[in-house]
Amino acid sequence: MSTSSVALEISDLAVAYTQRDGSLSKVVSDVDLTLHRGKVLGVAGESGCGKSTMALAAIGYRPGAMRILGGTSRLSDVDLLGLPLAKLRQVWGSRVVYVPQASSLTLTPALTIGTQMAEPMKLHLGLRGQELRARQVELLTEVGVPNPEAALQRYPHQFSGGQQQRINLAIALSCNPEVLILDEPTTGLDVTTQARIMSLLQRVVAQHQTAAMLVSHDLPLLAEVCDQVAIMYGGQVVEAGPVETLLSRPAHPYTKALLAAVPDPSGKRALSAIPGAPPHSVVEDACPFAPRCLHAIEQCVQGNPRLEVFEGSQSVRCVRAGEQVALTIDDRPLQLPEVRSGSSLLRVGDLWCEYRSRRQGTPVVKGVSFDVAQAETLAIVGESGSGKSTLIRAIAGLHPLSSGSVRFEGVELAPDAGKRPRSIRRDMQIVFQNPDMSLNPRHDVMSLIARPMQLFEGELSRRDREERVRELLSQVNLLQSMAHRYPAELSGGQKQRVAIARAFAANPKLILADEITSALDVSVQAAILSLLSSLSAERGTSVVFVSHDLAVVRAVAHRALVLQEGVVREVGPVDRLFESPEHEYTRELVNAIPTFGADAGGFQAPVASA
Amino acid sequence: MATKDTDRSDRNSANPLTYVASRRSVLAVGGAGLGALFLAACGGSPASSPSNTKSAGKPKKGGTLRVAISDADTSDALDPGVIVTINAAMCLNNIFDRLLKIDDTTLAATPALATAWTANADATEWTIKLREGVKWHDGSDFTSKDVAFTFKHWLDPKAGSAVNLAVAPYMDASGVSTPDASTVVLKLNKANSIFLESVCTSFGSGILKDGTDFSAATVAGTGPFKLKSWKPGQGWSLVRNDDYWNGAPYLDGIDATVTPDQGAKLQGVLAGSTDVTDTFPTALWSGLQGRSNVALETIKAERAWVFTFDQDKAPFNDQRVVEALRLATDRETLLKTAFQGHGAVAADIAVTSESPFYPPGLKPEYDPAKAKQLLADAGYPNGVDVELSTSSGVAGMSEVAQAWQQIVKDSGFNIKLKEFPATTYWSKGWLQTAAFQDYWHNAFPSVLFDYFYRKGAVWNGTHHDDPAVDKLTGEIYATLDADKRVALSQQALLEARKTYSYLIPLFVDAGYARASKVQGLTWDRVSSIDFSRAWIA
Amino acid sequence: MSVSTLVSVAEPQADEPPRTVRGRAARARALSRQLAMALLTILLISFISFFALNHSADQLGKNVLGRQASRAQLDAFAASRGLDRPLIVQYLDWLWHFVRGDWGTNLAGTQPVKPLVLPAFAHTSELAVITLVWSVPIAIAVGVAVARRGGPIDRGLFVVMTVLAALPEFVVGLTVMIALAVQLRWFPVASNAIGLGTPAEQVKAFVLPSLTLGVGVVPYIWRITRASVLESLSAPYTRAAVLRGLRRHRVIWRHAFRSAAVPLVNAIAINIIYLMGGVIIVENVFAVPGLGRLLLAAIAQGDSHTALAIIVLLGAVFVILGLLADVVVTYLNPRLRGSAR
Repeated sequence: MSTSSVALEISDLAVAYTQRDGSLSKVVSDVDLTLHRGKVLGVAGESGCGKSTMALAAIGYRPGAMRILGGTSRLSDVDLLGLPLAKLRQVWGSRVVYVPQASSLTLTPALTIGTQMAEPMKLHLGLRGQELRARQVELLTEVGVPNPEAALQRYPHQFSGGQQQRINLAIALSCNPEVLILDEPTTGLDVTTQARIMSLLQRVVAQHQTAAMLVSHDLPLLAEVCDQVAIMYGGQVVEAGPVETLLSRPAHPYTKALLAAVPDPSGKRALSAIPGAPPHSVVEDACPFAPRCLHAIEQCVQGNPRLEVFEGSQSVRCVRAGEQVALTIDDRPLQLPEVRSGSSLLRVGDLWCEYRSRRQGTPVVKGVSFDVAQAETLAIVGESGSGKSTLIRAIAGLHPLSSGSVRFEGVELAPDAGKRPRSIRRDMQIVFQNPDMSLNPRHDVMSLIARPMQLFEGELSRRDREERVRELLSQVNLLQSMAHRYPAELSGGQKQRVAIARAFAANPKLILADEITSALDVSVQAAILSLLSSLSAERGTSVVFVSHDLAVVRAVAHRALVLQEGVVREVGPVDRLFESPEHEYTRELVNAIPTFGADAGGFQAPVASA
Repeated sequence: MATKDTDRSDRNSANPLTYVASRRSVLAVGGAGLGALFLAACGGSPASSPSNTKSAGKPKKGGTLRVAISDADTSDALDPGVIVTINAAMCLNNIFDRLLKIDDTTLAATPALATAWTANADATEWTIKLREGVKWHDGSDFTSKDVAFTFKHWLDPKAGSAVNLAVAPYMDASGVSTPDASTVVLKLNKANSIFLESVCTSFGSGILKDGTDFSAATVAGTGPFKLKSWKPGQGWSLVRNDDYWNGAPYLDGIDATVTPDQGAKLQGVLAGSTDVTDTFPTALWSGLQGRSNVALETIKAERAWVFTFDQDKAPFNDQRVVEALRLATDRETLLKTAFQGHGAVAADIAVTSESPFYPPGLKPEYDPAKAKQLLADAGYPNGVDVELSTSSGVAGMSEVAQAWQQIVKDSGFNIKLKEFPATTYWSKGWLQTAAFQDYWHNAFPSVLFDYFYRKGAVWNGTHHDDPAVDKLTGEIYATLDADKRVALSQQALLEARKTYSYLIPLFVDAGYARASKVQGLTWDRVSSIDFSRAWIA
Repeated sequence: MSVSTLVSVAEPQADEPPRTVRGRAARARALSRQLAMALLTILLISFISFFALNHSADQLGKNVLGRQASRAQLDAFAASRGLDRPLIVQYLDWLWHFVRGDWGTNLAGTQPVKPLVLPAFAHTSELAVITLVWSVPIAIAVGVAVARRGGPIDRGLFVVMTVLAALPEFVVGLTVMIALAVQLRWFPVASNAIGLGTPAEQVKAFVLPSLTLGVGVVPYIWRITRASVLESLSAPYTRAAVLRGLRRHRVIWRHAFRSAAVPLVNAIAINIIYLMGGVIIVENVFAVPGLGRLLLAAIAQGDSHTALAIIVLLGAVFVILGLLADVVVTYLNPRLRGSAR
């Protein structure tokens, strides 16, 4: 690659945060990355690895507490890290653009799309009036927003998440940037939307020869779109290289472990989580992954390994990189517990639910029927708008039914959870997606988990309860010391473990899990899912597992039910659904799953839908 | 005592009536209390030399006086018959004249619009000679027709006049006649030797023009000032009447503004933006003392505080208990505690010691031991409970009640205070309960008897009747000999004191502020401040 | 309530636009419903107030005529004012006349209510507006300026603002009066010039009471501004705007402040209500001829005609303000236009 194709060159970047007591905590260290025109570089890693910080630092964004300790970030001739703020503002939005994470608050809610789009163009390109308008419409058309003229007058909340992301992209592209940085661009988006946004990205990069950096924790996504990938861990790049080789023949143990944590849609490989937790800051004097590495040796803790070139275009930060053969990943085949056939625990019959706004009601769940047997895990799969959350809530008694029935152990349940007998409430527990909202921030972990026992097993003494809590804590892989922590002091994964422990606390017969891992990192997700599997297997608990992620479904469920706009399209054993789907919609979903190439994981090259 | 027409010190009559205390007393009290503390802390200009007492100097003509008044109401109207606040009093009493002017302390009468007044032998008919050459502000002549109209106005219950109480028991509208333009004859139903004086000590006794409609546009009086503007509840302005029968005033005019907050009013006078004010609560007086540009004018013995006990109800049906209460009250301490000593102790009669009617040698007694003994004799060896009606909304009332409560505790009286808001005290507490507070003004004793002591008297809260007092009262009203009246009054006062259960421990002074440069002001209870001879140095 | 989204995060977003927002007709319906509710509320308030103000006819007579009023006088007074009728009849009679524009006379019968109340209303409104005009921008400016930087200035301001807010109005009023009117003689002690004096005098008369009131308004608005702006500044869209190269000024005012404005509007509306109705103490201290003073006097006297007129007037003001605030808020926060989803 000739140097003229280099758009942004990051060398030796090190970033730290100033703590409240004044000390510095290094979060990024020794990062060398190069962005080439017309090529996409993926930066992968889990939360806390410093990838977002690194990306922002690389373009010169330094909020108060952040300090650049060293390194350069050269955009053609200019070192962005040395520029004063005034000059940086000229660069931002015009030559270097940042597309923020896909949340609903990335566009200013009080301003119209048109105003927000116009701002950078007015500022950087000096466009006005008709010319400006024309360009806006052009951009919106390019990113695929329908009715561009009308759209300009509307406000962000009037668009769906996917469209908001497109608009963000449009704003980013408006001044023909040289460098495009996307931070978790598809979080919270549907699989199909995701695919569309990514193909848009590829088209844009190719057409405008922009250099792109895609920061994400979603490995399959990166596999689809990127040319090069760098894996970050503990603030450092631990492996980098072309996407095909890196993902098919990873050299670093972390990369391998990460890949193993990604659910396998082909169902052959079991989920494996990575024990332990990532470091909070850069580890300087040893390999950051050593504490969790299955293959760590003495040498690993004696000094920080350097990033070295390995087999051509890959570079790895591991002393044992050469020993490919010995470093295999956990290759266990997937094993699901046996289903107790015949004994139906939950029977949903012709359920109809509607969403009421003012006087109108729109049906969201239309005539759904299914069974769940004891000790079975049934997955309910669907995209947004499919009604899967409403369905789960209706079963739980949190959403009114318009018609139909829910039977538990043969007994018809009252539509309102408050009116159900205690025994039912005890036997049916629910875990929600966002543990921030389902865990009472004023209670510590001990009381949170003990609560169902207080409610439903009142005869237990306090001692007994505490003992059971401790038992549960170890089952969900939380340290005993966590018992007296408060939710604010826990990470997302830890909180979700607490929620699960709580759900299991009173020995329910059925657990309803509503998108419980959507907000979590891949490896954490893997841990949670295996946890759920093992607990339910151990206790014979049935699980109704709602998800939009088909790959996850494969890893946990026995049977799956596909929901489209409130209607059941297909039900059946998971294997059959994936390998020979009968309904067209199911086929569509299965095809949209991003997959990897080649050996070590057994993934296939993706078929990106347009 | 001389019996010249001009000196009628024996003419006694008084209407122990005054304005209802400021409705904003609550704020005044609260504001004054806290305001006073606050102001004491912050202070205004530093005291340099002691206050300038009246400097000798010749009166100067000119200048507009700025007055600040707290006691005002938006219902204040231009009807001098219905005066309820100082604001109305001050304005209207400088626009209108009365027939006579009565001195507050000696109760002596000075001719004003009436120059002579004589009665028939049994004091049932009065002939009044009116001053000649007096003009109304609109230029028309003052005649007996105006006086007749005024009397009829007072007698009309629909008019709601305060004077009604003084005239209605003694005459009807048909009793007024006007033989000529400067003579009025009043035929009374009952003998009253001090009729005219008692009328002229009443609030609202200014003489009205015949046929007046009480609107600001047409209001016309005979007084030293004419009305320039009138904003009820907000303020008023007067200008000099150059044709005043008693000599034109020195001041060009008076501008009055209503300042409800006592603290703000005080600040105004300290800052020099106000020349004269209406009364201040005693708690704020310290803010005025020791300043060179401001003087505090004291009105001695402005009112007497009274405790009334119903002799139909136990324990007051035994006069020994009432005696015990009187002996148990340390009046000096009470005066000091409630009013910082500004006032004078009283011996259970509502006549000041400066009054000619005061029984000589009468002094109050304080003997808690004797009080306790009396109580025991009466059958209450372990003390007795008394529930006293009071109101913190009436300025001064609570101060007296609370101080008194503490003082009489030692003698075995357990006083419980029953609190009424100012708006309902006068209809629910006063005269409706067995023990309540009241205030009276220095008055002609016979009038006091009329209202508080006589059989069937409207406000006799004791429900007691002493025929001896009634008889004496009748004699007083029938006697045209002034000296005899004094002797009879003294006798009656002593008798009343013995048999009625009123406890009257003290008189309290009132005070208002005046800029040092303002001279010639006089205060009387009916007019509040009389500006006719005031001047600015 | 924060500025952030109320849309749940649970469902991954599809690519299609959401359900259409409600039309103009529905909004008009909602508005008329609100107005109807408001009228009903005012009616209820007047009803309750009327009965709460009730004093016996005798007491009212004594209030006006003095406690020495005779039986005959009291009876004549009660008859002339219609106080001898049952309360409910009196109320309905008042209501019947009131809604026709005849507000009657005060208790004493000496003064028609409308010319008494309307000027007072005007004065109080003037005072309120003047106060808002200077205190709100200052509070906002300080709130925005310091919210950005934080640190010792911010903390210091916190203390100052809290103290100011805690000070009772008459303490502030008297302090201001002593300092500026008594010591420095720059302004008059009493503000009776309002509505009476020359324009210059009137302007001066407004200063001290306005200053006193503002001292109560500024901390409140400042606090809300600071909190909303802080929240706004830390929102993702602020960072996104910065990273588009927009200048600081634009980011703060156009993006952050605009989004933070909603709670501010509500706070300002509440403050206006406070200013209109809660100025009793300030009006009394400075002798401002406004509604607060009038209302207090009317209530003390039992003058129900005057008091009710003021209460209804204030009620109407509050309602209109509330509606206006809603309108402004809806304009500022486009998310609220056309209903909840």
